[in-house]
Order: sequence, then C-alpha cells, then structure tokens
Amino acid sequence: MSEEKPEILAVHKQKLEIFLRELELWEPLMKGELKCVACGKIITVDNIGIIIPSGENIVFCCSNYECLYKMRKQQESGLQDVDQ
Amino acid sequence: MSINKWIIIITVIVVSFIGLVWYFGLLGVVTSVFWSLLLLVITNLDRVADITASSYKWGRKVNFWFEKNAVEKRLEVSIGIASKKVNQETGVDLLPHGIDIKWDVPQKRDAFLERGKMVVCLEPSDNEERNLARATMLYVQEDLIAPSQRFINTTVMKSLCFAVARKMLMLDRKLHALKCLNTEFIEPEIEKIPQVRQYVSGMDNLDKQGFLTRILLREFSQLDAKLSPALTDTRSRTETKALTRMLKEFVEREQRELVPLSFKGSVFRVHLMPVAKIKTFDIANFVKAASYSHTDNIDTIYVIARGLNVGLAKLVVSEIEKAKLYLKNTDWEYNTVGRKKGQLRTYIAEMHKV
Repeated sequence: MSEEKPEILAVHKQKLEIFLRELELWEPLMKGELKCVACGKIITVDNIGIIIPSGENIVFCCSNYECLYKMRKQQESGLQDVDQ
Repeated sequence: MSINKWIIIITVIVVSFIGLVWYFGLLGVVTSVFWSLLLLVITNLDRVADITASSYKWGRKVNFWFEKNAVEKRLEVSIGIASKKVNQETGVDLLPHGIDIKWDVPQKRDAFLERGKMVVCLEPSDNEERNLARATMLYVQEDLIAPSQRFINTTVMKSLCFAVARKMLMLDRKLHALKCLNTEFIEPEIEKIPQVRQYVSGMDNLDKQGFLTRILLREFSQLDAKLSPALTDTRSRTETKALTRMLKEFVEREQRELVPLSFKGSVFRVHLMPVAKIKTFDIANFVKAASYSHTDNIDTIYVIARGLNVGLAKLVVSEIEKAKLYLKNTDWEYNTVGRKKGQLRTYIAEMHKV
C-alpha cells in the first residue's frame, strides 16, 4: 500500500454547532433553511453529510449515498456549477 | 495470522523463556515477559493498532480528546487493515491508499471559503458502525482502481463499490457496520436501480470463489493502461457489464451446466479454463483449447481448479507453457467454501499470450 494517504477533513457532530456558528450557518440549519445540493432534501443535524465551499457560498450534501456519489463526481469535474 | 506463524512465535517464547530462566534465574523471568510482549507486539502490529483504537473509547467521558481519537483511529485502522487484506489477495494495489482523518477547527466564513476544502461530518464514537459504513463506502468509491473507474459501466462500478465495501467490513468482522451499509446505502440504491441487487449478489458469489479480486478487479484495473488517455470508452462500458455477467453465470452455474467460457470483446479477451477430472482426463484437450484461444487472439487464460483437481491444473499450466502458447503471469492457491464438501483448496493461474 502506498504511504501517501488522502487527507479527509472532518468535524465531529458534537462540535458541529460551534463549527457552523463560526460559518454563520447554525441558525439557518436550525430553521430548516439549508437544503442538500444534490437531492434538495432539508439538511438536519441527523442527515448532514458534507459541508462544501463552492465559490462564494457554502453548500451542504446529505448523508444519502446517491448524493455523496453525485458530489464526488461533481468534485472531480470541479465544483463551479454547484450552487444552492 | 496463520496457525504456522503462531506455532513459531509460541515456540520462540517458550524456548527463550526456558533459556533466560535457566541462565539468569529470576531476572530471566522478568526479561522473558518483556521479550514475549515485544515479540507479540512486533508480530501483530495490526491487532495492536486495533486494540489501541478501541482503547480510546474508555476515556471518552473524561476528555473530548479521547472521543475524537476513538472516532479517528477506528476509521483509519479498520479501513487500513481491511484494504491491506484486499490488496494482499491479489498482490496488486486495488485500494492503494489508506485514509488520514484531520479534525477541522471552527473558522470564519471567509477563511473557510478561501481554503476551499470540503468537510465531512462524523458521528460520535458510540455510533461507530454508521461512521465506519459511511467512511468505508466513501473510501472505496474514491480509491478502488481509481484510474480505471471512468471506463467501467456506472451500475457495475456502483455495485463493485458496494461489494468491495461489504467485503472489507466482513474481513474486519464489523457485522453491525455491514448491516448499516446494507440498510443505509445498498437497499435504497436497489430500490432505485433493481439491477444493483443482481450485480452485488453476483459479486458476492464471485468473491466466495475468490474471483472478484483475482479476475474481475484485476481485469478492470488494467483498463486505464489499455485505454488511456481516452476520457472514457463506450465499448469498455458495455464490455465491463458483459464480462461481469459472464463471470457471474460461471460461478452460479449448476453442476454440468454449460456456460460461456470465452469473452471475445475489443477491450477484454479472456478465456476461463476450469480443470476437472470427471471420468477421464486428457491433458491434450486443454492444450488444444489453449491453442484455439491463441488463434482467437485471447490475451488472458485463467486456469481454474478446486480440490483434488488443483494438481491437474498445475500440470495443464505447465503443458500450455511448454507448447509456448501462453505463459503463467501469476497464480494463487487459497481456501474457499465448497457447495458440499466444506473447505476446498482453490487454484487460479493467470496466463498471458506469448
């Protein structure tokens, strides 16, 4: 196995509130204003999968497999066209 | 670790214990205990890493540092060990990288946007099954024969990721995570694309015979070398589907049922050569079959045998080599579970056209 390991940035669910407050996104999350960029489902603390910087916005992807798969494919081709 | 290795380690421990006690007396007992521990750690690094990863959970109520490490190390160690096992099966790096989890710190919106890196949300350690299922799935999606993925049919590739993620969790004996993978990822996908069920169950059957990594994934892993720099290839997408079906039919066939053994595509040209003695055994028939494959421009022959036929298969391989038709590139001998006879020795030889 190669020594080179891809780095995965993570946030622990117990620290999610502090993390999102800094990004000014905790209130919108609580109000149900954030939607999954792939399927449009409302993002909650339970189904939050990935937080993605996209241009001047921060978008979210839910933990559904299909959405994570789509996000990965979109990441490969660049995230420019991903917007909320 | 194999039984033979354990016998060697225990012998070394016992012999060194007797020797040290005889020579140093009480001091020898102490030295022997440390020496034995050191030996056990060095020979079981993966197991030690696994125990260490689990041990962080004990302190999670005391300090959040333990909780973070419990989550991080469990994922890194479990995925690292399982991917190493998958790679060891074939001797090819099908999953070449491990994972390295870094905890992100809260930062202002502008700094987050400027850095431009996505952040994954991880569950607490008391929900490690869900974390592991999710992380394994994402890791496999990212790392499994990555350069060749673009040449593989999308449904086949998705099913392959599911099958390999299942395999990794089974190798690691993470059965709760496996259950979570099935309910959270695989079942919803099957509802959308019913074909996925057929492929995943077919790939599970291929894996039971040892063909998933040694034949299917090895063939697929060569696609990048064969077709690069093309961005993708319509023929290869069609053929990856057809080759998967052919192998599935082969492993799911009933006894004496006739199924296709050759795949003559433009990207894959493969011949499966099962060797078995039914009533009589004539090695000339196998050499003749290899000669037909040679004429048909078949690139790779897989000579396959189980149980008592393994010896015959090795003979067939050497006769084909003598005829200068194909040369053995590599071979594997391993245990599988037979339909009736319990554990069976299984053999595969991969032969390339001369």
